[in-house]
Amino acid sequence: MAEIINQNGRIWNRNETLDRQQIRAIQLEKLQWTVKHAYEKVPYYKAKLDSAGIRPTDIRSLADLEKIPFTVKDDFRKNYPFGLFAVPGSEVVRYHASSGTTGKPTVVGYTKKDMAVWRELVARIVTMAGVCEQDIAQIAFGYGLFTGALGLTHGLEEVGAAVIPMSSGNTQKQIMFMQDFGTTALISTPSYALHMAEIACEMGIDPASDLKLKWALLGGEGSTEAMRTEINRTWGIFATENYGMSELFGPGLSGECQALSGMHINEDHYIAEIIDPKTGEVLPEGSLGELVITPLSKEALPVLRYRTKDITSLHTEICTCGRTTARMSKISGRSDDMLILGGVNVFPSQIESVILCIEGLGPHYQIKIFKKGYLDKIEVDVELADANMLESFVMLEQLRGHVCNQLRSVLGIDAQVNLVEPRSLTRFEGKAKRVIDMRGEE
Amino acid sequence: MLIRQLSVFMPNQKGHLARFTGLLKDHAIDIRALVCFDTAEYGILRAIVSDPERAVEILTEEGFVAKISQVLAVEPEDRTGSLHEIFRLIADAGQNVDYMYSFVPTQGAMPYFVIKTDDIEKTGPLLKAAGVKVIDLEL
Ligand SMILES: [Zn+2]
Repeated sequence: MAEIINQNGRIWNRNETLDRQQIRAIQLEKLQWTVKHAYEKVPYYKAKLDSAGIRPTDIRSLADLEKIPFTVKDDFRKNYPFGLFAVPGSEVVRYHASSGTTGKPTVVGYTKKDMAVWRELVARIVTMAGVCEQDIAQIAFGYGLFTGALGLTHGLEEVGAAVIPMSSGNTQKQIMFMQDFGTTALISTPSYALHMAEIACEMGIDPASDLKLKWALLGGEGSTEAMRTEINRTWGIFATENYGMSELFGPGLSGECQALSGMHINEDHYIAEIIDPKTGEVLPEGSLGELVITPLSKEALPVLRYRTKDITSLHTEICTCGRTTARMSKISGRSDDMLILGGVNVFPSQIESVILCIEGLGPHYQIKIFKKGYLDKIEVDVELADANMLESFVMLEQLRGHVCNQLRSVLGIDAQVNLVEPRSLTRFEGKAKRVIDMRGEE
Repeated sequence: MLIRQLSVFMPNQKGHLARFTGLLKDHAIDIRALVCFDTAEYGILRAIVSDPERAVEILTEEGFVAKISQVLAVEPEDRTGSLHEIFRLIADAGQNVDYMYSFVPTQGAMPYFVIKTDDIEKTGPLLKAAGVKVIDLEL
């Protein structure tokens, strides 16, 4: 049960309403533990801190956090699979993984205690979004190694909601379950929520009046205010966004409350900073920059100052919902070239390495992304390099099919692959313009 | 027994075929036969030309994907059922026809049929043994 119920809804945990000084006191104590834990149990962190001339005892105030070197996604890759783990495998009760930049996934692990913390964090987020024990929640994220679907499952169960683990796809069945089970909360990417509404209409069902949905928890990709308005209108729903990533537990880092004034960060379990992505310098509150997160409660996999590459800003003025935790604004971009395609995170370099491994293709490619209806459509142009493929049209089509299959199985993206002539893809001086993202253009 | 045919990757773009024919004209290469069927995004152009090696060279230089394919050319007898006999023989031998087309080598002559099967080395002897006129000479 939520601990606090006021006129603005429920608040799951009292720690969400502490005054700033109390929050900072908790953060300092847990930061000291985290740095010590990482230093003592993970040789990689020890070496990193040693070379920066920092000992765990040097962390005497929150201001000392700035001295700690950043951790980046590449650190996970270099330490694949368990090099960053601070506990023996016997203490790990769950693994998750997300795609990495060079084909090696980013592996994360959880102890029993980590799982309890994660559950708690997500419980707070779903409570913020309006969900309570009365709700029936349908999860339309893909289950599997990604943290999204299972993370939400744990948190929703923690608040006592009933979970329908539908996974993504199979849209007509999704609608049927919503109708027959009386689903009240939808957990989905924004674009899939819009797509489902369209399919429902095609099935002769008005999502706003024929279904019982009240809440939508959107995640996995960013959305615009226009998309949210459209989701609210078509579904007759109240949609909130939430944010997280597997390196930092998964979903549960932050989420929007009913006041929709940014995403509240669970600050007794995370310290958020905003830095200048070019210089690494910490920026004052309210500045737009790259979000850097230090989780404070992770046992299996402590992470120090993780560069999320997401661009946002932080705000601590009091929220009308009663929570005192800092809020982060909607993610306004990336400080790297990561693409989010239909909720799947992909780097152009990953697409490149898939293409380079396929015989018969040239090294150049171009990715075109646009919206078809509400869904992301991806076209990948690849150069035909091997004239032997011209023996029969079947061989050409097999080559093309092979590229599609590899992109799907390695990266999880569905792309239309076009074969083009060598050297026909526009060449650029210096850095090639590999990606043409037309999603913002109406 | 096999003849050398030009195979060229043809994206479905305006002016692409003209670029191809223009290049061959500029290099005085004669086109005897040309086929290219309608496809959505790309197709493969097949052509019998006077100098296929040179054609591949200049086309590749200009960014085309081109190669020489070994195909069979036959001259069926001028009577009903002669084509059927050819394809029956190929089918009975368990070979599959990848593509085929016909062209007239010189004005007033009987048409030649160009055939490409998935086991082209064996198709010629098979047809020859059955009395089909297989065109041996370079065109
Ligand atoms: Zn709030």
